[in-house]
Amino acid sequence: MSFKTELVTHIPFLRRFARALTGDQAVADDLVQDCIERALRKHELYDPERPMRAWLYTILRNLHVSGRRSELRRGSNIGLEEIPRGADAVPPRQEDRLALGDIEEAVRRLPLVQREVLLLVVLEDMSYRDVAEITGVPIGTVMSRLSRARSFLRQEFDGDKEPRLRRVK
Amino acid sequence: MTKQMKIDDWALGAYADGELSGDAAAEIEALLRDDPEAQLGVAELKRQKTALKQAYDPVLAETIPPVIKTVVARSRLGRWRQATRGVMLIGALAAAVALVVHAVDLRELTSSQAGNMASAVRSAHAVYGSEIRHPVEVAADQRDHLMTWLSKRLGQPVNAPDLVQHGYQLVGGRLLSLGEKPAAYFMYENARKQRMSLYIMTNPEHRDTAFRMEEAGGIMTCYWLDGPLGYALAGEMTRAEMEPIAHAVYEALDRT
Repeated sequence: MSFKTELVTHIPFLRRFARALTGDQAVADDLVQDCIERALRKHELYDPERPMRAWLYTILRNLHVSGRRSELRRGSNIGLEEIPRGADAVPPRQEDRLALGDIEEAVRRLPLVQREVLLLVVLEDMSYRDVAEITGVPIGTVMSRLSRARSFLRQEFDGDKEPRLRRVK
Repeated sequence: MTKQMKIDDWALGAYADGELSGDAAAEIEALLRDDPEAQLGVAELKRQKTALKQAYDPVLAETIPPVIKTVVARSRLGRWRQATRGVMLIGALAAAVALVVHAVDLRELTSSQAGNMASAVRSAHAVYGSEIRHPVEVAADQRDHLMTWLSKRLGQPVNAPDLVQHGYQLVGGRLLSLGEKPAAYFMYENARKQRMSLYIMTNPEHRDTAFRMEEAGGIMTCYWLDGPLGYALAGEMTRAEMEPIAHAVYEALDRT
């Protein structure tokens, strides 16, 4: 498969991740477009021995972080850990999908470093190792962020009276 | 929360995420059988996953926005451009193969130069096309001075074609750069105050290309290389509106 052909197969997944990460369709698609442009421009940096998917997610994730950083830079240096949630969030929509609205809102309220790890692992089904590489932190940090994100979601949902979804295998 | 509890959380998470080897997973499964609380924990993780998938999976079924498809389609990567004015079908098969390879190299060179020009005219149009007070450095009432000056800087006779027949009047021009080389920029405006940009730069390779048109961010561009110069047009218009103007520019410049 050519580089381009394979690249195209990843676009729907990049869009899903970007949508969940930013909570906004237009912002997400801009991010995906930037990511694809960059990947095409820098294709010689891609190592064909390794999965293209993780490489693309790294590009997209870094573009998102640097975009958020420059957005938030106001005189003082701001660390990744300090990036608050929600400057890129849209207000919750009043829709019939109450339960889904809840999860989207909860995702938006997560700090960015936890949100990206949660989405990469749970939504995108990435391995801890890939996520560690994509986010540039040790696996232990990935697990700690993931655990905190999951606790947050659990607390969010403890309050609601929605019937719980159960899957019995 | 004790440290022990936290480790359990991590282990449960790793189990739910399929990160554990067979032995480690079996160990967790054994523990789970006698631990209703941990069972609830695993169910909760599955519930979270289901909720996330339900919320965001519909994105997968959406049509990919055309603008993203265009980015891929117009990339030169891994794709042989249609030959514009090629020399083919000469000699034996081996010779033909060698020629084709050579021709592709040249086309890649020239098309990258033309592509740079297209992005330059698009940027220039975006910046100066909306400028109210100083859209140009030298206005059209000093047309002769403008042409002399820009021709001198480019080292080639440069002329802004007359596009009145197409409803566009010359506003003026300015000196810009492309890479480290000087480029001429002309701005036109129609009766509805819609502006159009023309970029002219030197084409040291003297290789020709056909017209190429592309649209990005609402701006249509048309660009080509012709002998000593390269040209790029940009404006907020459709392909059908730009095509006759591009041909008029081509013909006007061919005559000079």
